This record gives sequence, structure tokens and C-alpha cells, in this order.
Amino acid sequence: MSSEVKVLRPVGILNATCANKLREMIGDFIQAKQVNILIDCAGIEFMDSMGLSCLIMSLKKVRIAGGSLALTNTNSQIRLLLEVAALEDSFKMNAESLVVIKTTNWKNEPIFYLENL
Amino acid sequence: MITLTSKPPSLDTSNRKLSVFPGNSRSFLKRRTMLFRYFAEINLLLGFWYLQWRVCNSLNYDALWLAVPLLLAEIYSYIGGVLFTLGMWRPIERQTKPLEEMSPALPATDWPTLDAFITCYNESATMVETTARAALAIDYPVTKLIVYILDDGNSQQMREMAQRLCIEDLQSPLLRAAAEQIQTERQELIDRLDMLQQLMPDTYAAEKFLATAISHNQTESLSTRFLQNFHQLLLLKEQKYATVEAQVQAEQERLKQAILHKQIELSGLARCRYIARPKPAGKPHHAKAGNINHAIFAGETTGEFIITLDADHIPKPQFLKHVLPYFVTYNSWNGKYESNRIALVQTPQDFSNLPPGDPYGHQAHLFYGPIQQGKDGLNSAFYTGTNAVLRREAIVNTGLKYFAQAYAQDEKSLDEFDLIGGVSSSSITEDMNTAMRLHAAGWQSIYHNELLAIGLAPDDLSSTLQQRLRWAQGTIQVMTQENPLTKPGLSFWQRLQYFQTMYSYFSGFAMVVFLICPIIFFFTGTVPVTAYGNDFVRHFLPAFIFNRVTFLIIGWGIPARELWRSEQYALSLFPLFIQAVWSVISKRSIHFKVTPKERQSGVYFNLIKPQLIIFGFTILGMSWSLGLFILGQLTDPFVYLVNASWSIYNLSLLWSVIGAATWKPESTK
Repeated sequence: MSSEVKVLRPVGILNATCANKLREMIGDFIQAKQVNILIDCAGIEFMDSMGLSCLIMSLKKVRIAGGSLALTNTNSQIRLLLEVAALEDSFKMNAESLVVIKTTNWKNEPIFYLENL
Repeated sequence: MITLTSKPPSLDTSNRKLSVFPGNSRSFLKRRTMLFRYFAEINLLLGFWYLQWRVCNSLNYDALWLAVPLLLAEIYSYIGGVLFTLGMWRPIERQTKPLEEMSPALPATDWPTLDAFITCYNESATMVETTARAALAIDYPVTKLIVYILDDGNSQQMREMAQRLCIEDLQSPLLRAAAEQIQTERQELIDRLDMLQQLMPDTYAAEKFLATAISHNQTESLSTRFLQNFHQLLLLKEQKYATVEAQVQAEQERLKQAILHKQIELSGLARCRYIARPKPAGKPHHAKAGNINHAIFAGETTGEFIITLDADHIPKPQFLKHVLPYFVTYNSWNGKYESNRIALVQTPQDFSNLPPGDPYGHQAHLFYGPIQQGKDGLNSAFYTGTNAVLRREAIVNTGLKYFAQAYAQDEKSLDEFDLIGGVSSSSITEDMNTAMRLHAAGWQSIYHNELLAIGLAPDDLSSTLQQRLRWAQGTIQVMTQENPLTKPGLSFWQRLQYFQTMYSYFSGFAMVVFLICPIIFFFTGTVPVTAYGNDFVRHFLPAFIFNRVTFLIIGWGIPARELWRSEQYALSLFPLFIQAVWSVISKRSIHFKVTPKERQSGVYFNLIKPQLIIFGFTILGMSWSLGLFILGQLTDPFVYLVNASWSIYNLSLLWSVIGAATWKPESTK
């Protein structure tokens, strides 16, 4: 298992259609044994409950595979959803991956448009 | 093949010409509600008068062991009657305009997307195929409706059937036309993209020329100035972009996206899909709720609305167009249709396979009629698991709340999020629990009284009893887990509706008392009531008569025979209700048993032993006393008469299950 952290930088609206695609992508990462995933939410304009469900499903899959899924740059709307679902503390990295994130400049990762997927 | 023997006019609104009315929907108090209220009030007063007479003047203190249970049973029944009456206080009828007749018109492009979930477990593939075909044939834009067969039995046959149906569907003229339409639209987009790409070099060159013209050529000619102004104008139109080049590039990007979108739409035309969830051994699967939730969260379904259908419930083509208008409200401030707080619309259930006389009492025009209309009037129309349209957002939002609670208690529940995150999975009657949670979360529900799907009922006693037991157990289970009287978020009337349903399932205990009292009299002469004479008749008879009349008014339009049948079943299933209460209170695990759809064979006397025993003893007791009367040893013939009529009433109630146990279809006779 690699200690590498995969970074996703989705842009757009995270709803049912887009969430399914995002989940597929994460599923592919898990298949490739890249189980530490960071989602940079800076580009997400809006996330609905299906988007949150997708994140929870991905969290479940990643956890089963022994990895971790973290969110960063969440906007207030996303944070509100997470708080209501009492999940704000669940999306976090293990210590080892945190070091990787801090030492690499993940902000250079390419963004992708959710609607494009 | 609909073999309904009798069909009340109130249910058949499909052919009724909608009268003209302003707006898109309206509701009004059900007809004859005032008459009902009038009689119900008198009935309750008379009942109260009788009850106070029973408590104060007629309690047999010499036989308290019998008198007190009877009194309690009578009080229980009276409270049940009060709750029932209150629940029926404001029944409403609704009228809506179909989706395409709404005014102002809702353009077809704005119609919501829909997923049809056909839940099945071990039903035959041919049966599910009929349902799936009917679902595919629902009159709705083909690009907006996808049918999912949620096969919890994971059978190869079902999978093959789904694939075959999908291909067949793709070849249907409607789908071909849709595919062609999308193809042409896609081709148009591609052509435009080509054109754009051809023009691009020229555009870039021109822009470059203009830019250099500004810096180098000080002596501006008129034509260059004109071009420059034109250039500025182009940029003004789209202020986001600094140059025309950027504008063109953005347009190119947009076109590429649109083309991709069309491709996705094309692949979305495969409208019949099959989902069988993995069911790892040793882990809870959460039955039907788990099946539906898996489809919502892990099945890549995206429809804004979900129509749930049991495997054998065949929808009519007009289903969606008649039901969907409820989910949008016209906002006259901005002239748009907006989504509202309606979480679900329930339609009636009816059956095509009922044998003549309906021996198992499946016809439910009383429930899918006055009772649901009464609930609807108090914003608590029940969800009954099939023939309903649900708003995905409501289900997921509410489900997430409860998931959060479970997750806070136990981190492991994350592992089964896709099974518990939406529809309630904590009860074996997931439908009722889900509706209650939706109501508590502030969502609303609607009962649409038009028959839009016809199903199959279990046609033997064993399956029927199994189904009723599940309903009873599940309802009481919900009550112990989420008491409607204390659950936050519910309105007073919603509390009352849910509590009334749960309360009614405790009737088994009262019924035993009512059945046993006359038997005890026949053999021992002990009576729980001191005065069985004129005084009794004077107090009892008015209450009884008004009760009957009120009931008939409620069931106006429903054949008396069906009303009687439903009353018979409400009372003669007492052992089952007691069993249900007992199993929940003793915390024995309850498993969700799927009601079999095919006739089970055998004779069923073993299933109704308690009823048979009581039936036998009642007849024996009556004959015994009759014998005494003939021998001239009966002390009080009038008391005998009262008890004999009571017994005959009991026997006629019990007769329904005995008839059902011996009932065989014509062909096997």
C-alpha cells in the first residue's frame, strides 16, 4: 500500500449525477491501491444531500480498504451539511498521510469539472 | 385481466371528466363529512353514556374477575372509537390537473427525472417482467424515466429478463425516435464545433491584427476604427472574457461539454436496469429497506423522484402525469414552478386476483379511501410501500439525519450506510416508519385517491396471516422504538394518527374477553353485568345502532359486504395480534418475511386453532343452555337471549377465517 496521497480537485455542483462519477473515480483509486485520498472542495459551489451521501459511501469504501479520506477547503454550506450529519470529524487523514500532504504542493494538482466527468 | 367483482365509484376517477377549476389542484372536504360528524358525535355521546352506566350501575361486584376485564375491554374499544373518529374528522378529496394540462404550462424539458424501483425477492421473472413492461410503458418522456429491477434474490433468470427487456425497449419506436433525436442534436453540436474550429485561426489573426493596429498604426483609417469598435462591442457582450479568443475558446469548451452530455444521454436510454446488491453472509441486510437504500446510494440512480412498486403491482400509463403535479408549486413572484415540501404521494392498492367474495379480506377500500383521506386532511397520509412516488431529496435528507444518530452511537454503522441511510430500516414495516420520520422532519405527504396500479394479493390463508402478522409486529415495533406521542417534530394530529394505528393493534386482548364472556355464562351462569334486563337494552342498543350507522356513513359507496369482511378480519385475527404484541414486548427477534405471491397449498385449520376452539365452545355452550331451557332449568331466559345474540355476532365474525381456511379455488374443487 502506498503512502502516496491522491488529491482530487472537483469544480462545480456536487449532486446525484456528479456524485456517482466522483464515486467511480474514487473506486478506481481504491482498485489501484491508492487509498489515501484528499478532496479539495475549494471549487465546489454547492453540495446536496446526494453529494454528501456519495462522500459517506466513499469514506466507507476507503475505510474498508484501510485508507483515509479527507476534505479540505470546505465552504460554509458543505460544513453545515457535515455538521447536521455529525460527520465533521470523520473525514480526516492518518498522520502519515498528513506529512505527505504538508510536504507536497498539492495545490498544483489539476482541477476537474464535475459536469465534465 | 381485472376480475374485480365490485368497484366503488369513488375510486374510479380516471375516466371522470375533471371539472374546470382555477389553479392546478384543489382539495375540499369529502362529501357527507358533516353527516358523518353529526352521527359520530351522537355515537360518542351515547357510548359515553353507556360506559358510565357500566362503570357506575352495572358492574357485577360478585364476579369482578370477569367484570373488570370486560369493562377494560369496553373502555379500550371506546377510546379506539374516539381516536378513529378524530382521525376521520377532516377527510379531504383532491383534484389535480395532469402534468401537461397545468397552467401556466410546465415545459416538458423541466419535468423531473424519475426512477421506478421494482422491488422483488423471489418472485417469478415472468411476473416481474409484466410489471417492468408496464413501468416502461408509463406515459412519460423516455429520457426521464428509468426502470430499475431491484432483485434481492439475485437470480440469473431475472437478470437475463432485465437485459432482454432493455434491448427490446431500446428497439421500440419511441426509444428509436428519442435516440435519433439525440443523435441529430449531437450532430448539430459537432457541426457547430467544426465550424467554430475552422473560424478560429481567422478570428485569432484578426484580433491580433487589431491589437497591433492600435499600437503601430497611429493614423487610423475609418475602417480600422470601425473594426476596433466592433471588437469592443463583442467584448462588452461577454464581459467575463478579455479577448475574443478567450470567448471562442469558452464556447468551444461549452460545445464539447454539450456533446459529451448528449453521449451520456444516449447511454441513459437503456431504461431497464437490473440491480442485485451483494448480500454478505453474517451481516444484516435490512430487507426491503436495505434493497431500496442500496439502489439509492450505491446503485448509480439519480432520478429526482422515485416510484416504488412491489414486484406484482402493475402501474397504469397515466401514473406519473397524474401524481407529479403535486410536487411542484407555482411561484407567482418569479413566474416559475418550484419544488415544495411534499415528500410523497401515495395512491391506492387494489388487486386483480381476488377470488369471488374475497375470503381473505384483502380489499381495502375503507383504508384506501375514507381512512387515508382522513389522514390526508391532517397531513399524515401514510406511505404503504408500493404505488407511491417519493422525493429523493426528502428521503436522503431525512435518512441522513437518522444515520447521523446511529453513527454517533456506533461508528460501525458507517459500514452499512448504503443500507440504512435513506428509507428507515429499523422496523419490519419500513414504509410506515419512513413516513413518520418524514413527517417529523417537516415534510408533507399526500393521498391521491385514484387507482393507478393493480397488484396481486396473497391468495391463501397462510400468506395472508403472515402478511397481517408482519404489519402488526412492525407497527407495534415502531411504537416501542419511536413513540409517536413523544417524537419531536410531529404535529398533534399526526401523533394522533400514528398512535391510533398502533393502538388498534392491541385489540386482540379485548377481543378475547368479548369472545369468552358468553361462553363463561353458558357453562357457569356467571355474568359480568348485573342488569341484563331492560336497563341494559336501553343503554346498549342506542350506542350500538348509532355505531353501525356511523360506520355505514364512513363507508358510503363501499359495498356493505366488504365493510363487513374488513370488520370480521379486524376482530377474528385476535390470536395474531396478541402474538404480535407479545413478540415485540418479549423482544424476540422479528424477521421480515416476504409475503409469498403464489398460492401455498394445504388445509389451514392448524393456523386458526384458537378461533376454532372458541367457535366450538360457543356452539357447545349455546346448545347446552338451550338444552337446559328445554328441560325448563334455565333461570333467566332473557339473559340467555342476550348472550345468545352476542354469541351469534361473535360466531359470524369468526366465520370469516374458518371460511378462508377451507376455501379452495374453483379449479381444484
